[in-house]
This record gives sequence, C-alpha cells and structure tokens, in this order.
Amino acid sequence: MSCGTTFDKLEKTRGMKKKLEIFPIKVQESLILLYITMTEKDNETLKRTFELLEDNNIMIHFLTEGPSEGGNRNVSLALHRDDFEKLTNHSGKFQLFSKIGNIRITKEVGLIRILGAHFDIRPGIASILFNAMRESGIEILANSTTITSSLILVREKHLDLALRAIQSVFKSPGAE
Amino acid sequence: MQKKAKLVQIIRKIGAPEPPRIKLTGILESPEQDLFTFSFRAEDALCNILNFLGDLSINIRFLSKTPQSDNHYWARISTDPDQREKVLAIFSRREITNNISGFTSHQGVRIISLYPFKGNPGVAIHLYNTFHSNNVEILAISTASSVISCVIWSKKLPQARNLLKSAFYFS
Repeated sequence: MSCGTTFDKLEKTRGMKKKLEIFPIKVQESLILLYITMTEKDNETLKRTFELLEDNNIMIHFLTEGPSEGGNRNVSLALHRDDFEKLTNHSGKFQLFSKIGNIRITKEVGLIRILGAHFDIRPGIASILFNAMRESGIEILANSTTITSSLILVREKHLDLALRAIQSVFKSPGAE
Repeated sequence: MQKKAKLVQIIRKIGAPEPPRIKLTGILESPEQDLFTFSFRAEDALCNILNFLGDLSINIRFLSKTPQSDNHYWARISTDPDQREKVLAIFSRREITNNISGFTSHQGVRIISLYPFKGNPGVAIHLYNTFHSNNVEILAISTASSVISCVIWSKKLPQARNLLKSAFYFS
C-alpha cells in the first residue's frame, strides 16, 4: 500500500464508517525542541538535564528517549521558549547544554495533544493520523503515542494546517 | 575559591533534609510487548509500516518518533508478541528494508507508566535515578499528556514495580 492512502480509502478497507470522536485537541505554542545524542554509557547527561529543569521549576512538555545508531541513545525534549531563555540567559546554567557536543535545537515549535483515540486497541489509527499529516505536507518533528494519547510536535507555521489535517480524520468537540 | 564553594554546596546538600516523596496516583503496566527500533529518512517509510500494521489489525501500544538530524529520524514501535511473525514479515519486505536502517528488536519487554506526570521533571529524574541505580535498564522513555512511560525488560518488572512503590508516594 502506498503512503498516499486517503482516509476515504481507509474507511472502506478498514470498515470505518465515521470519524472517531476524541477529546478537545490541545495546542501549546512557543516551544523549543532540543534533541541530544548521547553515548550508551553516558548516564549523566539525562540525569543532569532533569536536575537542571527541576532546580529551575521548568516543565517538560514533551520527552522521548531511546536507542539510536551505533549503540547511542537520543533524547527529544520540548521546553517553553521563555523557560529555555531563562536557562540560557543565566550564565552557568546553560553550561550543561553547551558541554553536550551533539545537541540540536529547533525553535518555533508547536505541540498538539490528541486524547481519546485509543491507539492501543484500535489498529490502524496511528496510520490514519500519520498519513493525514503527511498528505497535508506537514513534517512531524517528533511524536509520542501511548495508549490513548498522541503528542505531535510540528513547526509553528504548520499548526493550523496540522489541526485541519487532524480534524479531517478525528471528530473533536468544537471542530466542524 | 571555586573549589571551596563547591565543597560548601556539597556539605549543605548532605545536611539538607530529605525532600518529601513525590505524590502520584498510580502505576500502569502493559502486557508483554516486542519493541522494534529503526531509523528512516522519508516519512513514507514510517507511514508504510503503520499502514501494513493497520492492514493486519496489529495494535500499537507505544510509538515514538525522534529526530536524529535534519530529515533523519528514529522510530520505536511496540506490538503484542503473538503478532511477532507478522510484524517481522513486514520489516522484511523489500519496500521497507530499502527505506529503513538500524533495525533492532527487543523481545519480552513491558511498558511501565507513572501518572500523573504533568511535565514534572522531578518525576522524570526520580524515575530515571531509581531505575538506573538499581540496574533496571530503560530501553525507551516516552511521555503523554499526564503519563511518563518506560520500556523495560519483562524479567525486571517485579523489581521495577517495587522500586517505584518505594521511591514515590502513591495515594
């Protein structure tokens, strides 16, 4: 099957008669996405990152961590822009991040929260979501999907388009 | 001077009262799972895998996509072990193998989740430290709106559960 499958086709092939109802979609703007590559034996970077955030009362909006190439690990972390600036503006506090060689930063990122789709018991729902985003030309920068919720990070300029794509496949209160 | 300041900081930390345990509501445990990890560049690769999984009615309990560099991503997908042959057959298809790399599978894992997380780095650090200092290997971490989830080996689940019950206060 090609990736260009439309929701209409999926409806027919998977017997889905109508859009799945979900809770109201929540959006968080003005985020910064940090992605860090660590060696497998590096036990300190993530620990110190969490400590730094806790010491400064900074909320984690998104977090994924897992294996990557060559036995390394990679981490994606989304923080609010103001919190990130607070860290970078105070000399010393950003030392942790500046000491990490392989760190990349994407600014102007938005987070979309989809809740209630029950990804764990409805086969094909993740496929429908990812295809809808792809067909709308939206790059999913990072994603975390567990049980009933999916967090999607996209560029802020793509937020409206992403919301329309999601509303084309899910029925959310307040959306047409 | 800097050394002295650091020493004072360490003494203060030793003398400080132990912080109150973080209050949580519960722990969720998944049934046994297989975890598949791979990297890809074109979104088509991930969409194709998700399409094939959907077509074969295979449930996904855990999915994460993480950037590695520009247009280069890693994905982790967990599925039920009774679907293992079908999942491996999907990952063996030429149109998939041609478009992914670094494929690995971890068989016999569980997802253990703590809630509410609500973006609290204190929960993350406590979870990470607790598992790390007790040799519970974390294969992957992912957050949802109110939950933080870890993929760990199934054989470590009883130990992990007990550690979390000691490390956090559950109401």
